[in-house]
Amino acid sequence: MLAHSQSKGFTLVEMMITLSLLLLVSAVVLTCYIGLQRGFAFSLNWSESRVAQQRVLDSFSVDLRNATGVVVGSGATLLTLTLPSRYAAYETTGYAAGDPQFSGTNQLALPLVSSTTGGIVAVGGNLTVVYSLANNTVSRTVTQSSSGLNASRTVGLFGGSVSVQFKDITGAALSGTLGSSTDTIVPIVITSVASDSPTLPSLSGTMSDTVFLRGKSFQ
Amino acid sequence: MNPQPRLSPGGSALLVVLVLITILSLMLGTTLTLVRTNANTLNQAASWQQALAAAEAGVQQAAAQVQTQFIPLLNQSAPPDLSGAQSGTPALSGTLTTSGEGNVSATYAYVITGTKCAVNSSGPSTQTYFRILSTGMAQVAGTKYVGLDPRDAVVRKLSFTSTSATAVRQVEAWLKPVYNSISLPITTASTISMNNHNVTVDSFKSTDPARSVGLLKDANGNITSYGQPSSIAGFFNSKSVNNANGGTLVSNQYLASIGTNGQSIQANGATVFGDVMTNGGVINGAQNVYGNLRTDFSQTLAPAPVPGGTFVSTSSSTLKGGTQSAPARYTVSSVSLSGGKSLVFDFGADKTQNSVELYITGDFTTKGNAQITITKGVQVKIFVGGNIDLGGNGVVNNNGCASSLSIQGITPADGSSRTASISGNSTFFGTIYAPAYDFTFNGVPVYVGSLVAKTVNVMGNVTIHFDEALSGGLISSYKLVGWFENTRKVP
Repeated sequence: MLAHSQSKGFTLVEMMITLSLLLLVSAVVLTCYIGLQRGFAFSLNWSESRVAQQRVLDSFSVDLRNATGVVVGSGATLLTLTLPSRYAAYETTGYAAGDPQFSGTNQLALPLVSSTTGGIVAVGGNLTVVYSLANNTVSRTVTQSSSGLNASRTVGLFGGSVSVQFKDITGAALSGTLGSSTDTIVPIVITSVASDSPTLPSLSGTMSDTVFLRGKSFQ
Repeated sequence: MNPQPRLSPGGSALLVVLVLITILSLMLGTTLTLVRTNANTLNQAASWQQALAAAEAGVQQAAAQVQTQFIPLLNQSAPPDLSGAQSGTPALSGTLTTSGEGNVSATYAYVITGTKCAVNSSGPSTQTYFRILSTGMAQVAGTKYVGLDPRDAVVRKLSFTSTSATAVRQVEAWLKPVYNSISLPITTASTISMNNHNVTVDSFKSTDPARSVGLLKDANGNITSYGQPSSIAGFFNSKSVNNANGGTLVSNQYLASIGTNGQSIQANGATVFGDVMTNGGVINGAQNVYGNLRTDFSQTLAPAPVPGGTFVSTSSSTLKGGTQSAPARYTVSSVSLSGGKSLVFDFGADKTQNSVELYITGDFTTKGNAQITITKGVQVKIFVGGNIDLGGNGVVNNNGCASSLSIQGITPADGSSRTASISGNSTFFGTIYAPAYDFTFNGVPVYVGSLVAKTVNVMGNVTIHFDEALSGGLISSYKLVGWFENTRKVP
């Protein structure tokens, strides 16, 4: 008589319990994973949106502090700035389009002193810098009529909606030409509201920055 | 019996654990990536802002250096040429330190360059401007890898090396000299007191026929006779609408403002065709003030320095001039004129030698019929180390123009007080800059020019005509007139 084997397999009940537990654990893990991946994606989008907002505000602030003329636009045009040209050449393409050309001899040019006001007057003509907003994208275009320069670059690209407001320190909206008729230094509060996704408006974030425009005689 | 080994369920447990570890690792990795991205973003933006703060700190330090180090040099009688790159103390660099998580230090370094600029509107025709080029540098905290959108690097112009990442920002600022010593008819450090309503302070512009009387020019447009306030012609006050030439005075511009850094002006009914200004103080008897009563006045009154250059001792009663570029410089221990004595400032060998400087180390006094005479066409600067008392016939300035005579009361190094007074009979044309002097008017009929003193006490029926055409004088401060961030990437 053959000896009865002592090994035994899993019973059906054991298998069902094991598989059920495995499925349960897998379902929980998978659910968590998908949720976390979603959360991660949302967080990444949110982070990128805030980074883009910060970049837009920083770009505004640099240009506004250097500007001798500021016009708050309407519609797709956010800002039109007049900047003294102080460089011989500017980048025309790429991420740095509109910035001073990075070459060895392109140094900051000396300005002149006005014989009437005693203030500093830039030489080399003016640049016109236009910030515009279309398709959830903030763009910066630099033109110079004397040289034919026309360079544009994307400053901020948003997955969801974005808006920019310009206000004074009391919260009143600003519009038109700022700081050109008086020598008063004008504070301007820039507020950007942006969301990372059109489907998740609740994740929109607000950022503000305050820039003081120079007075009229402060060239 | 050879029992078969039982299959262990531990194999499937290992599989489950491995799967879980993989999933958890992925979660941890993505979370860390997100955290690092955010940290890099914050570090990059913070360093970029810190670099600007450092650059602007450099501008501030450079501006302070100009105020404290260069103004005294430029206010000397023979100022040095400060064109070109300047050096000195404190060192032209500094460090900003921060604390907290991710703290990095930011450094700045700046260069001050003097430039002589031709300016027509105010001050001397050539003025020394200073250009400040300040570079702020801040390390980006964390690793040198800032793996964000390339647009961020474009905006912030970050510089990467093999060992670190640095945010570098450069600011160019321009400083313009402010000659405020003679910008008002009366400026004091402490108080102004007028004794009655017969005191009048008004203004005119000796080079502008719309705001003066009797201005004459030749065919080439050069002024042959300076204009005067029309009260000298007998009928003027700043409210008049017609001048002697048939033109119209700009009557609604009241520019004869008086101000003090102190807290008290006793107007006492005096007529002032301008603002009356204190530094948060009280104004009494302001019923005849045509301008505004203000409390926001503050003006730096630079000490009047001992004149530079070489002065030659003299005992002559006639002082001959030198050229504008090389004025004739004389020095005496004191001047005390009485009786019929006189001191004459005259041309040198020809009319191009029309500039005279006199350094009186002691007191400066005229009495009785004594007088100081300035030949028409001669420009005079008098530096006084002691007290000033101009009585008798006083100073007869035949130029008829306040810009031709400058009297500076030197600020004592020991802080001691000085006095000055004018009580002469003649009309005084000139400017007096004596910020450490207690000044008294004693019945001088007309004073044309401007006055800076520690205190001013007006005793008598004095009329003060401020000449709006006055320019020059001492530099009291440097004003920021240009600010520009260099947006070119600094190598």
